[in-house]
Amino acid sequence: MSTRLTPGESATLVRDAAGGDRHSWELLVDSYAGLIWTIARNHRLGQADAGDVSQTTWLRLVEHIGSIDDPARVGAWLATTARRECLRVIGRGSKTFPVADAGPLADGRPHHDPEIDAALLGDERDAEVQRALLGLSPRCRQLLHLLMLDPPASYDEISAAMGMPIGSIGPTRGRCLDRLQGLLAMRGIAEPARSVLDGDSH
Amino acid sequence: MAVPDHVRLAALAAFDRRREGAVLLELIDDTCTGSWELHPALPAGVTRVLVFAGPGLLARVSVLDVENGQRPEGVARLEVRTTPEIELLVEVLSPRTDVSLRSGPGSRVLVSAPSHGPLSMVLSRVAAGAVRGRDWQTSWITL
Repeated sequence: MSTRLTPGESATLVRDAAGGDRHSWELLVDSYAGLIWTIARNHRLGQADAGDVSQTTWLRLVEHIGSIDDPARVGAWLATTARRECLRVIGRGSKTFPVADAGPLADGRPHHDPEIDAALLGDERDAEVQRALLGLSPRCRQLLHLLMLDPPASYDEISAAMGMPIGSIGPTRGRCLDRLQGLLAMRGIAEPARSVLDGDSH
Repeated sequence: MAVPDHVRLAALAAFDRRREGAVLLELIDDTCTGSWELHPALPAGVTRVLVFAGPGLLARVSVLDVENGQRPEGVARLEVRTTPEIELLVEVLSPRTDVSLRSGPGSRVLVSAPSHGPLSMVLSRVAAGAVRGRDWQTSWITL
């Protein structure tokens, strides 16, 4: 159960923990552990990777606790650190692709396509879809994974995580979806609607 | 979203991982997540390179491929080199084990580390057979 802290309370706990007060650290953990865990799970990380992200985030706070610019906003600091670590884990290459939890393959705009939902999210096709996704290159899998996060990663975040120029993301997304479409077709799965693959303006 | 108990306990335990007095080496490059088009090809036998930097030192950590096709499960082999090149002792810190893995001295140190979970390395300068000055500690990372 998390305790909601005021900015002033957060700042006090950060300063006291930096001074070696263990109880202050415990209160920080109790207040923000849920936030970090939620961020990791919302990035579709498995339990083990999410646990590593959580632990690494807290260890990073230990490293920097004496030098955070704004201790009152330690929650935002933890959230940013956790998110960056999630993107690093994804960039290392996920072993599985979270098809069952996938949202629409949107490029940041509200977009829902029933055809791609049916093609990719149907329960009875998950195994075939998983195999098709594994047929993509690691970079395509990483890109599509980031685009399917909830909320989706921004193009800035994708560019930073993958070292890809922002202008390349749309065309690369298109090529990856084309490749996926071909792999799905080989498995007898109906093609996703072309409207999902067209029009990369961002 | 409920936080698993072991995750909460690991967060609490992080408080004990403070290393007083060590100079922090921040992660500045990682071939796994950096700009892949700009990275040169990795040398044979190296699967990943991480670069850490801080006041007075740059440390390059190479993750080595399996040796002779065999490697103990859950163990990674790392090579640590620095710029400027100095004689080093390298200690691996990991919340996954109470064993402190230390190797060196040498200007090119090979060390074993858990291949899963967060880890950090403490680098100590060795001169005339003794540790000199403040230690450096790399930022926590996961392999």
